[in-house]
Amino acid sequence: MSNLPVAEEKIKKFARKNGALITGIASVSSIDEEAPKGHRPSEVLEGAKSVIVVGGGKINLGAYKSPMAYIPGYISSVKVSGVHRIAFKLADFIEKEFDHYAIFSPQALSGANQPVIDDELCAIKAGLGTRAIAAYRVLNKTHGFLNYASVITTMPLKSDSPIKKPVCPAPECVEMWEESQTTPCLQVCPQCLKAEIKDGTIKKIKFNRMIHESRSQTTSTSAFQKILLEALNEKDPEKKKMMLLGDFFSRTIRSMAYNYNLSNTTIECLRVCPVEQRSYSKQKARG
Amino acid sequence: MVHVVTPEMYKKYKEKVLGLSNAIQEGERGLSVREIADKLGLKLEDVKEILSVAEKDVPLSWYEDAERFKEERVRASFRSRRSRSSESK
Repeated sequence: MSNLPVAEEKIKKFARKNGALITGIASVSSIDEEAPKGHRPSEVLEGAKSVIVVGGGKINLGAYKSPMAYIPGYISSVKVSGVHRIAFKLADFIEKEFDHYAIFSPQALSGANQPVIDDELCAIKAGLGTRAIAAYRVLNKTHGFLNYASVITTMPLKSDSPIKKPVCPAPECVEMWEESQTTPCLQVCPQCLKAEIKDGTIKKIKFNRMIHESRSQTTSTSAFQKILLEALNEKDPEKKKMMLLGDFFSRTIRSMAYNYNLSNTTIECLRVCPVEQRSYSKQKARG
Repeated sequence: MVHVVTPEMYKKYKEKVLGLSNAIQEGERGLSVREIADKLGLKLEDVKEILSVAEKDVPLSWYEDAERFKEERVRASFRSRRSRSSESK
């Protein structure tokens, strides 16, 4: 029988060694309570007891300093796969070291944009951050915005507690809201985001994922399908040639072939988040 | 032949399915495909099809505009950084 506190420490140490900036553990039951039917960890792995969430893949500060709009998105997109690799290795480690079933949370989507498991919900339950207005993502007080990946296991583990005090809105955003009923992220992307702050906390968020998708997955599978459909409907063969051999469609195919620029390719609401910018303060101090 | 819904069925349920899903997240969480199927009394595979098409049934110009949006935002961010740095001098 394993000594659970030691097991948890070993798991977190392994994740850290493989590049995770933070790791948290949540019980399957706490996630099942909130996740919609069809997207609960207990439905993905029979007998699942715990979910381990790793956070990392922080975008390089240099990406925010690049005047080329493609660069941050490209870096951010590549960083997502890095975090998935950590979770993949961690699942192997748990099976070999502790003799419990473990699977890397499958990110395959159904035809619609529905991930099997909401890694960000798992991150909140594992105490790694709280929901932010910006891109409706999870914000960590120290590390700002990270990418998350989860491992579902039959191993019973001691859970970390969810964070009680919301990280978003930051004090300067509350001040801005009180003066002008907006925040830096809302100001940048009013098409995707709407929110209301009351007594220093988020009262309401409205996040239009369909508009966001066109910005965060600009040259991705949906764009591919849409251009293809337009091209198939185009009667003029010369115009069809221009559509299919042109720059946008070529970049879309290249994105899919090389697995980059597929997600997270907009960082505009993160760029202006004070918590995100503070998370780089040590790097900034080094110049 | 892959399973598809009829255009009539798509038109009838598109807005209902989108409205119940998490395509636009506001307040209570959106429903999963399975939950939407239960609520509307539809088959799971039909709801999957309707949602899959509906989420992409937006103008292609959104994707082209997204590129312009990002370029403009990057330029705006550099302008404001330069103006902050000249104010501090």
